Amino acid sequence: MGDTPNLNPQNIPNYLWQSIVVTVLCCLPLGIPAIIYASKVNNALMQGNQQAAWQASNTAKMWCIIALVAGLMGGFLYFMVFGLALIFG
Amino acid sequence: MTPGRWMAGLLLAGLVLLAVLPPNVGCFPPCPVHTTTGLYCSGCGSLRAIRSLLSGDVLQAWHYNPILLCCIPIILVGVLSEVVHTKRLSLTRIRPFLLWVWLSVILAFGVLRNIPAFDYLQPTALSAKTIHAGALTWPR
Repeated sequence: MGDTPNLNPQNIPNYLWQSIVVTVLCCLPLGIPAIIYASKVNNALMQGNQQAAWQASNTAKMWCIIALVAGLMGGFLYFMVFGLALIFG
Repeated sequence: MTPGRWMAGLLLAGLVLLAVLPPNVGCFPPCPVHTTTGLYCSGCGSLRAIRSLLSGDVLQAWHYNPILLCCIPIILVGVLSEVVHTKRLSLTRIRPFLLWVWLSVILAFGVLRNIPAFDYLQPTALSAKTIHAGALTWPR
């Protein structure tokens, strides 16, 4: 489960900036766990636990993608309801 | 292509789309939290703030969503670190404690802007003429 290309701690992403973007732009409730897992990546890296860092990294990525999809779905639904009503209504 | 890189590409594509679309196109999505609960979350107004920034109106952007402006530096460093892989730029070196503080600030801002005494924190248009992203069709 998860991809662990090379165990160079420098290459373990924490998805922090993505987490912040989805929190302020897509969906706040789903962005919060992403930021929490980003901090867990940093925590694990400071303790030198690369296995835990990779796990937290993958979880952070998952939450970012969930929040992004939720944001896009929300936008799409909004467009279907109000946008089409404005165009054709 | 790392996930971080295509996410950075997606963000840039979104910015270009926002810059190209006319401001009153009316299909900009509202904040899902605000539409479902009527509350203002920490992110409400951020899309309008980005639009204001793209048209050079920093003050208006600040009044739509100050948290977004505060987040921009860290987002810029993050996007840059996807392109230039150096240890100095890596966001993984930030102390976890500071991330918890920042998350608390974001959440506290979301709580404060729903308290009547702090209602000036809600997304506000500075003048009737500044209509940005979706403001025309926002469901009331």
